[in-house]
Formats: sequence, C-alpha cells, structure tokens
Amino acid sequence: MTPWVLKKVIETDWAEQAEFCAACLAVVDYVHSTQELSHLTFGKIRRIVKNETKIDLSERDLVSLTAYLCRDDLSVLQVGFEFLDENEEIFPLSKEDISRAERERSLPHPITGDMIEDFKDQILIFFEPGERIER
Amino acid sequence: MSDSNLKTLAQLEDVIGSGEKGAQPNSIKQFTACDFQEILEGFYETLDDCLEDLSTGPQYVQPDHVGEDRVTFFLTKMLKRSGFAVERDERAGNPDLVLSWKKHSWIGEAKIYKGPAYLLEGWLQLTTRYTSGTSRQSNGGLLIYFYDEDALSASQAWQQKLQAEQESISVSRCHLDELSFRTTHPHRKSGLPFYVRHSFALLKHDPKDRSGRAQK
Repeated sequence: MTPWVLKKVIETDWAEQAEFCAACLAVVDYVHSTQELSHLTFGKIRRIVKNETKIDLSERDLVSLTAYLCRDDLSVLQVGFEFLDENEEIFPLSKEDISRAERERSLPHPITGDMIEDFKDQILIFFEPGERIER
Repeated sequence: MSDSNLKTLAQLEDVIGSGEKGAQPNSIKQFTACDFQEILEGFYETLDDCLEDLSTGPQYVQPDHVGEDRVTFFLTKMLKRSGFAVERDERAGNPDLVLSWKKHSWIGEAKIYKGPAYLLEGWLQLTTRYTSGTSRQSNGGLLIYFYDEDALSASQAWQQKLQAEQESISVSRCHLDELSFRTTHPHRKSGLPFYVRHSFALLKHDPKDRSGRAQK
C-alpha cells in the first residue's frame, strides 16, 4: 500500500472522527519519515501525536490507535515484546514466546529457565514499523 | 509533556478490560496472537462487542429494502476501526464479510432471522459456495440479525435444524456468549474440519414505555 493510499484509507475509516484521524496520520507520517526506527513505546507514540496535533490521547485511545495501525492490511506498526528481569536486564521475546506463556500461564526466564507465573508485569511492549511500510 | 504509564502486558490487559465507555472495541489477542486461530478468537471477542453496540441502538438498523446490508455496513466500519482487515461485499453471489490475515481468511454470511429453514440457505452458501475448506479457509461465521423475541429459543431451534440436516456435525457452546454456538463438520470440498461460529445480533426495537412508543 503506497503512503497516499494508506492515508486515504485512514481518512475514510475515520471520516466522522477528525481528531482520531489526525492522530493516526501523525503516527503514519512519523513512521514514514524517520529512518532506523525500531522502538516505539506507548509513551513515545503519545508524545508524537501531542507534538504534531496537540491531541492528548487517553491510554484507552492510545491502545485503539495502535491496534488500528497494526491492522493486517495497513501494517503501519507491528508489536514487539521484551522481558525485563529483576536485575533490569532486557531480553527479546517472540510472539510465540508470549503465546506459549499465555497458554501455560508461566514464562521461563530466558537465562535461568526458572518458571515465572506473574510474568505479565515483566513483559514490555513496543512497536516497530510494519513489514509493508515504504520509506 | 504527558507520557504514558502503559508499558507492560499486564497494564495493556487492564486498559483493554477497563470497559471505558465510547472506546473502540479491542482484544488483547490483537497484540499477542501469533497465528490465525488466536487472531480469530480476538476477532470474535471484538465482534461480540460490536454486535452489543448495535443492539443498544436498534432503532437505527431496522430492516428495510437493503436487507442485511445496512447492519453489515455498520459492523464492517466498526471492525475496521477496531483493527481488523474486513471487507464487505454487497454483490449477489459473494460473501457478506471477509476477514483477512496474512494468507488466511474467515468468511461471514449475514442473515436476517426468518426461521431455521431460511438460515439453512445461509449455511449452505457459506459452506458450499463461499469457502474452499482448505487450511487457509477453514473458518466461517453465520451472523444472525434477530428482529424477533426470544433469541435463545431461536438459537436452539437452529442448532436442532443443523443437526437434522447436516451429517457428522458437532455442536458446542461458545464460551464468549450464551446465545452463540460453534459447529464443526467435514467441509464438502476439502473433507477437512470446517469451523463455524453462529452469533446473534439482537435488533428488535419495540419499546413498551410511553416515551419509547412516541419515539418509534
């Protein structure tokens, strides 16, 4: 999907909600125009939207915006996960790791292998450009 | 400048589960799913939220000459905004709703409820015309727009009709919603199991109170 088509799709989807549309487009512009972008947190995305549009998204709207921009046909963003251990060390995790942990209700520590039951507090979420983003 | 406290999977689950009024329906599985089955479970959660939204304003989706299309139009718009790649097709001979994810698709057939015999036509369209039954197209849904009373009895009658008409079908309850149910049967083309979720949108608008009657 070209940037022009992508913007038209977003404008059509959010035709009745101008603010949310502007917030989505601000993130799209940022992703398209920023080189070597790899680690967007919810906080960073909120700041981008605030800087570009003055819109202060609620956390719930921030979730909706990221879910929307991860939509399979838009693929502006894709989700990534990391594990933060008790020593503040960070380890990358795949979606398969998360899925398995959800099913088995515990996550093996990436180094020690110890099973962690309350793992969801230690899983950090970030976003990176989707596979089909053209820059 | 405001930042966000939203950082972890646990916090994301809390925000999605907060039930904030007016928020776009979402599921945690949109973020964590690694295969189509998990995406589909998230889609069903979101679909139910959208159907619930529609049922809170049934006066806007009453049946008219466009039949199922008005409801499907609104539903498609809601699902797209929630982050699902769905497309609607009004042309005769085409499925009403298609969800795509990578190379997989889910096909939805929408029908206004006019009794089990009428639903059977939708079922046959879904299972013998619109789907191949291959592993990339092994799931579908029957969206039943219900303008009558007592959806539970209608759901039970539809289950009985299916069991009478379709050999080797297994019926199971759906953990997401009491009126919905799921079926599995061998697809006629592929012979592989084909999974269908049958869900109801309650759209009867017949208020009995004085102000409701006046607004009808």
